[in-house]
Amino acid sequence: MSQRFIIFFSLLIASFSAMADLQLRFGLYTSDKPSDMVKQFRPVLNVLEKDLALKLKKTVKIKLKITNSYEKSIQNLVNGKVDFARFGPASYVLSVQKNPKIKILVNEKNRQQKKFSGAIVVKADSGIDSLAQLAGKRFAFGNKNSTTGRYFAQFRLQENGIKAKDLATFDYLGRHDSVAALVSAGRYDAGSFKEGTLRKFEKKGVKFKILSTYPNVFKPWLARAGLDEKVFKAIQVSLLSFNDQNALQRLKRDGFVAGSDSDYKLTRMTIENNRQFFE
Amino acid sequence: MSRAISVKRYIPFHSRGWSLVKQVLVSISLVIILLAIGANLVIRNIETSYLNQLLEAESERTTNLVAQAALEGIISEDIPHLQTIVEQVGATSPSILSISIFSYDHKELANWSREQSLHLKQFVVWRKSVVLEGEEFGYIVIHWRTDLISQQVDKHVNYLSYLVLGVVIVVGLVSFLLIHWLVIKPIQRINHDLSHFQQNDSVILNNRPMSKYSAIELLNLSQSVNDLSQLWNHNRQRERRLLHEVELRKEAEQELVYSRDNLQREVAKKTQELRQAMKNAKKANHSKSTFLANMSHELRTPMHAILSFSRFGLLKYDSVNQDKLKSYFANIHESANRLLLLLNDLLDLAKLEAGKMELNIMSNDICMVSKNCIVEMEAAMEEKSLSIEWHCSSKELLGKFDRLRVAQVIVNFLSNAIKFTPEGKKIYLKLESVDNNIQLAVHDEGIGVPCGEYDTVFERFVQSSNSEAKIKGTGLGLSICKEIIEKHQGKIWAEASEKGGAAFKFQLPRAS
Repeated sequence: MSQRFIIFFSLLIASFSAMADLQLRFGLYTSDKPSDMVKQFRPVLNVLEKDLALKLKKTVKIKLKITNSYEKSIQNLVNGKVDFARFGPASYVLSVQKNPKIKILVNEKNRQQKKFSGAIVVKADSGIDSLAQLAGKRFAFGNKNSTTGRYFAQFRLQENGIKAKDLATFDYLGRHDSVAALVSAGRYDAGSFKEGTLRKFEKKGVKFKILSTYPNVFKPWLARAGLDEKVFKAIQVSLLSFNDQNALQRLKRDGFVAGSDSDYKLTRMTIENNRQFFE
Repeated sequence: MSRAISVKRYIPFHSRGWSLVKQVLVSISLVIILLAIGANLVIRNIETSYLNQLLEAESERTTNLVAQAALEGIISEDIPHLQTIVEQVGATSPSILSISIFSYDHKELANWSREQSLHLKQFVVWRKSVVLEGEEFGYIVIHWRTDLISQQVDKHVNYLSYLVLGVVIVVGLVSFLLIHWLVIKPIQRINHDLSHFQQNDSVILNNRPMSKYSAIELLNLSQSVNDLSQLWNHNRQRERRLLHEVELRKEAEQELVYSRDNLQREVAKKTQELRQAMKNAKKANHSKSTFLANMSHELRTPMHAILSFSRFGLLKYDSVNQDKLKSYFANIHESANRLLLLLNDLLDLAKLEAGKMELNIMSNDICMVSKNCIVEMEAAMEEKSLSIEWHCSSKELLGKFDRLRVAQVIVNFLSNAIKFTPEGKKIYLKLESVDNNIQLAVHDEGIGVPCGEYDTVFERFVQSSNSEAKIKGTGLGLSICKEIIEKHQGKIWAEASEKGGAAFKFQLPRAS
């Protein structure tokens, strides 16, 4: 009994000590392993906390809110359960469809290293050399709301004459690394995932064959509808002037640039045309 | 006079209390018990600490494993994933009572608990925060049951305690046997020797050799006791001799004291006797002087009267008439009679004092003798118109006495009564038997004897102060009476009479 009381008391103290003048919640979905996501974003958020504190003249605490599905993250942003979030282009488009007051804070900038945003991949020894050969094959997509994991891949397959009905089977596995893992394991003949996941598996010694790649897309950082304008501006200014190289290196980005809804026309169009893939 | 010489025992031997064996046995038992208890406590402490460390390590390892496994799920709040993890971990470890995973804001994400956890009260709680990159995403709470650990501790402790107890008992037993062999037994032997010595005081100790394994100190002690006992015997003999001498001296001293006291008493007695003799001598001398003075006076007075009246007769025989001459001769005759009476009394007294008066003691009736005396004195009583009342308690009272001398005493009593009783009064003569004596008493209604003179009236030439001026007498009558009665082994005395005057009494032995 006493031990439970001590735990409760220590938690209470910890809660109070963790309180800050301004608490912000930053939303992510698990496009990768959650721990990898934390390692990727936490350094940026730490720097951002300090910068915002200087700008807003109050202590700022940014709490990560990572969901295991795109839908939940989108719903959190739409409902204002998170103050700002980093989504993929498709998720942005879907979020704005649900709440048009969601605004773009910045876009991630990654022009130097990144060659493409994602790819349709098979195992190197699969004997498949073109998209056309995927007819009758098992295909693994990422999340249903993923730009590179689903929409771009299905769009590209559709461009090459492969529709859903042409595939022997297909599934949405959620995370990019899940898709890469099962394709490498032979559970699926082909899969679509982002470039970062491809590089990671290749480093582990897994050999893939790229059948097709998609062009780079912007990854937006979004603010919920109704976020305090001062806070919005502060975040935006901080991110645009963000130059902590260690944090950016963890994020695998060069920095942030101003973004606008027009940056996502292609994505919006791809989503809108996606139903043709299933016809 | 012989006295038993008491031998004082100087070495105290106690039969009460615990023997050395018992004390050592109890001490070793106590040590064994204390060691067993202490070992039990130490073992329990060590075992508990060790098992707690094991539990802690296992708990930490398990908690870390859970934290590691649940890391991704906690970060993304993947509840099904977390629930699967807690159920799998809970099922694999019987020591886990419950696992709960909470988000950073204390929302329970997953929970698993064993059914019996509600009934168990022995458990510890471990909490592990899931922190990554400095941010806490949640925490894991695991309840570990400790009753299994306690049972394990009890089992190990009991096993080790029995082992330690066995070892301690063996060590204690061996220690006791060694102590008994090396210490107790030699001490018991010394004690036995001393006890034997004490009970048989002067008996020489049994010089049994000590074991060669005995300690030097005990060997020395045994030797010292032997030496001491020999010295003791020597001293005891010397002491006995001294005591005997002291007793003899004491006896001699007591006898000396006794003799001294006797001597002192004898000296005191003799001194007293001498003083009394001197007093008596002085008194006798005084009595003699008084007697001579009285005698001179008593003899000179009638002699002077005789000489005077005879000279008157010679000178005046031719000038005075016949009546005058007759009165001269009558006075000469009266003085001569008085002189004769005095000389008779003196003669009687001298005889009595010299023991030359022979008594003709035989059985006589005092009643008869007293009646004859009354007859003898009737004329004198008639002259003073005195009456006498005679009373005897029986018809006859026989006593052993000289009839004439006792009659002399009775006549003297009656004569004195007649002298000192006024005319017309009464005299009483009473006879009775008292104890084994016959008693005669003559009471008168005269002037009596002053108090304090009842003893002195029996002295020579002493008369009552009431009578000296008026009553004539030799002052020897009662002295003669006293001598006569005492010669008969009787008793004579005077006292105040209930009739108003004096009472003179004597007692004589009854005739058997």
